[in-house]
Amino acid sequence: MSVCVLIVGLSVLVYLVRLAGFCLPAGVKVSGFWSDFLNMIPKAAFSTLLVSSFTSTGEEGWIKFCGLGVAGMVALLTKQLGVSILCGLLIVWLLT
Amino acid sequence: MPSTEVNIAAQPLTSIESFLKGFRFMLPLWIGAAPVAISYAVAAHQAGLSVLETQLMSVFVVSAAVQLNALHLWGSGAPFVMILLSTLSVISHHILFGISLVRRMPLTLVKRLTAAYFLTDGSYLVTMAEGSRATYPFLLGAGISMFVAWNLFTLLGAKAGNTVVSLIDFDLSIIIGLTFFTLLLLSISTWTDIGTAIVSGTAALVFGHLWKEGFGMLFAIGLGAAFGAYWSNRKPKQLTSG
Repeated sequence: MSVCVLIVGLSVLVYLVRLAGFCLPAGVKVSGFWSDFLNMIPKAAFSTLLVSSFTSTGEEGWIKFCGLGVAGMVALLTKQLGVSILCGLLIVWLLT
Repeated sequence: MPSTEVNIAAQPLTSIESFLKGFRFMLPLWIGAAPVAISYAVAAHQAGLSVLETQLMSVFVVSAAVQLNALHLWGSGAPFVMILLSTLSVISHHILFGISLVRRMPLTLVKRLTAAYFLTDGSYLVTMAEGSRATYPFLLGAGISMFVAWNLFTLLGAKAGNTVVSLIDFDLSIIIGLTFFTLLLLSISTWTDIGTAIVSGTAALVFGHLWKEGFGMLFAIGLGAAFGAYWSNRKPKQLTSG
């Protein structure tokens, strides 16, 4: 198999999968359970991707939790995304 | 890194301002994307891809997980169908992202076609963290921001990957986790949100190991959202008045 076939195959598949979710008709009404289900997807995704990213990075567990703790506290106090990440990263860097 | 404020009671922004805001909100994630993109480029070089082929994959696929996974399987001689099935499992949760975005903002056909191309985990999450202020220009700005970063660092890795890797003695990809955690904290407002996060996080831990990410991630998001929907229909309780 050539690299070109690989790239084209991946590109088409990934694009079609991403597009599939956007194919929901604009005017469609979803009520009850499914409406709440769709509204909850972002929070569930935040949590899932957080766990996924932290189980795949190389730092030790306690260092990650220290970084998370500091970033979380700064986020709750300041509501500043960039500052929070920077503080969490600083702690991880100092402890590594 | 920019000082990016998430909760601002601001006046409605113009399309350009919203686009630039989305672009700017993704800048912290650039630092996390850099080592991953460079690692991908180095792995691609080792697998025998030329600089052009390495770059083309980043331009058209725009997904770290898909590209690294495909390279690994391709290098080990896996059949094409197996690579596609594995890719499907890795990217399948983006279907839920698209459905969620269509409900949040009005999108014409052209906007849907464009948004689908630039949709990534980071751009979706940063956009949803905007809540009711999320707009298509913001989503596009966030998506293009990650696209630019991913391709710039892929190029850097393809041209000088080994040199750069030896200079970076620190796992910067931890920034991605810090970003998701901060966004999660800032978006939680009810007990149902907390329950949803706990259920989906636990499911990701359990099923991510069982199914090697991919469908495990889709299942974890679905299970967390289902729990949240079930619970919010039974017992909604606000943590804050907002």
